[in-house]
Amino acid sequence: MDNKEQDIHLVNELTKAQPKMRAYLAKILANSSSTDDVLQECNKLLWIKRLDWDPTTIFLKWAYRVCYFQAMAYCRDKSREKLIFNPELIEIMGNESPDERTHSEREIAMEKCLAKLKEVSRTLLLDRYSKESTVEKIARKHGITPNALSQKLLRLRYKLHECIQENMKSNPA
Amino acid sequence: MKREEELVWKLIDQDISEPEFQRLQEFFAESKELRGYYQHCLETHAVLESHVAPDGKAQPLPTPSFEPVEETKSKPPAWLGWAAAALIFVYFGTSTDSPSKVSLVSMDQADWRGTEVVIGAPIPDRFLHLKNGSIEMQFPTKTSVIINGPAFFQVLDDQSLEMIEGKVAVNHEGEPGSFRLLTPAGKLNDLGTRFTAFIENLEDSTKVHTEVLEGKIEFVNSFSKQSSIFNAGESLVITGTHRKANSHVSLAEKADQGAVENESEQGTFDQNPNHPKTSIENQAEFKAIDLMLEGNLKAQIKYSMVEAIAESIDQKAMVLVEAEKAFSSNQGISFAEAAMPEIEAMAHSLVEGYVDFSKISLWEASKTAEIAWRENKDSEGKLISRIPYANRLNTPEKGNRLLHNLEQIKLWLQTVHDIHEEKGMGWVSSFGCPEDGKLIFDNRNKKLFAISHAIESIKSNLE
Repeated sequence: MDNKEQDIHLVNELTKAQPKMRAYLAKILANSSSTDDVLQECNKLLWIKRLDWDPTTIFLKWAYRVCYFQAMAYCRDKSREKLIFNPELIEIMGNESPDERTHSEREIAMEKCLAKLKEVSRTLLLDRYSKESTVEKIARKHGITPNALSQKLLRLRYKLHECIQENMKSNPA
Repeated sequence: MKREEELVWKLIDQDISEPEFQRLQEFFAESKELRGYYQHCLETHAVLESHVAPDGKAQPLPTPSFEPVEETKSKPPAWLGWAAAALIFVYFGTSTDSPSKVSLVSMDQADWRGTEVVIGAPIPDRFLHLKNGSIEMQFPTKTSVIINGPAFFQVLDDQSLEMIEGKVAVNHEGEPGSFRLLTPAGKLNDLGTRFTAFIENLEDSTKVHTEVLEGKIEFVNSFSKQSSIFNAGESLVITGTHRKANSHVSLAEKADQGAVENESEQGTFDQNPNHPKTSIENQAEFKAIDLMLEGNLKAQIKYSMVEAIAESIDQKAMVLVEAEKAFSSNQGISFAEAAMPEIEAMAHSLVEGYVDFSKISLWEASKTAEIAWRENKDSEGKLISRIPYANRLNTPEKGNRLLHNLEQIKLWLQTVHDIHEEKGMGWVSSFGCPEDGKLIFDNRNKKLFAISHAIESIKSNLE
């Protein structure tokens, strides 16, 4: 494989790996809003160091290691912030790979589960995930207090998640 | 829903209090199952986020040129879209099939990572990583470029060099505007000149320090496309927040014209713009130790602590040094006798304090190297660049004075000890009691031994 072919191969692998790398980083970084920034740093580093990758090995394993060290560096820099895991926990989590099932498998399961929810609950949940809606806005729209809405959303999302997990178990990858 | 599961969701929403977060950490440490649950919840959360991403808007991406990325209509997940677009841009936007006419003309202790380039060979059209050392490239635009590692760069074409990180010195004798240096914060067009640039990739932004030695350069902001011209003797610092599309550029730190003109008369330019040559004082701040520790974060942190300790000991020691200079005994007593309480206190703080001085290395406690310059000249013998390196000294100098002050304190303490021995054990006792005095004598002896041990250890720590 010449260098150009190897670059194309790496671009494919890196593109495919994005959701998994993000999930891996989000876990270590406590779902910090900086997850995408760190992911981008990892992408840059993986590209810069692309010649270090042996295409006969599993790309994702190498990518996770790079993500792990980038995440460690981030946590070290931000160690004074409130929601940063302690180094021991980061190490434990860093050694655990994300679920092997793909983002689209989970998405299919979610579609099925969303369909099982009452329409009002579904709208509530999806409103919550719409970037333009705040809890306050949604609460006002549905005529409930923000606190009550938060509790309701918590339960709904828990239910949805349980359903997705069940669905994926019964339809293994 | 269990309590810990509720905490997981609160964490994902970043709606968790500090005590709850601490508790959750404990739960995570204890339970692999809960960590698995957390992972699955995060993935569900990500699927939900991408499911309703408004218009599938892509996030701004810091591509190597740090240009804002056009919005795409790609459907979820959002990051997949922009990441893939970026990668494709990175690959196809930077690879060409035509062989480069840019060649490597010289190298000095070059340590390449990944692709290695040999002298005389064309420079490959890919990102190159020069870990250490320096290289010189010749562009067909009559441009000579010297790069000092650590650096990441790519020759984009016969007229353009892109640098993400590193130090570069450019000497352009071709058509004005025929050579450009692309940095994460903007583009520098060479209008017939010599200039240096130091590109630093910081955690949140990129900083480009540049200094014009001759002629002029044009700086073009990547985002606003506004340009500014800078002339010889001017230096600027450009900062860009490369992670966000709304990057801004600020110009600052114009160098003192007279000072730089002075430098120009010498026909030299500094390869390390981190230490702008605006004054002699600034130059003096650039120490060999900065070069020795470059890239070694652990040693840098360790040394900064040692340096702080050295400084605080030096402050106290200097008080005694000044007092000794001004001391004139009219009662026939020596300085060591007069300053005995201060000397004893200082020795006590060294021995009984928090620092184990015996672990400190010789290079941390004294100056073991000095800056020397490797000069590069063109075919006419004209100096085109000077590259600093650390030159080891045969005999260490005082440096931060840590070792020197330990030796000085030991000397003062030894003098006190000798006087005590000479005047008898009861000398330092308020009641003239030999037993009390002997106890003090023995304790001081232990301190002397401990300080001597620390000094000898430092001298033998040659790592």
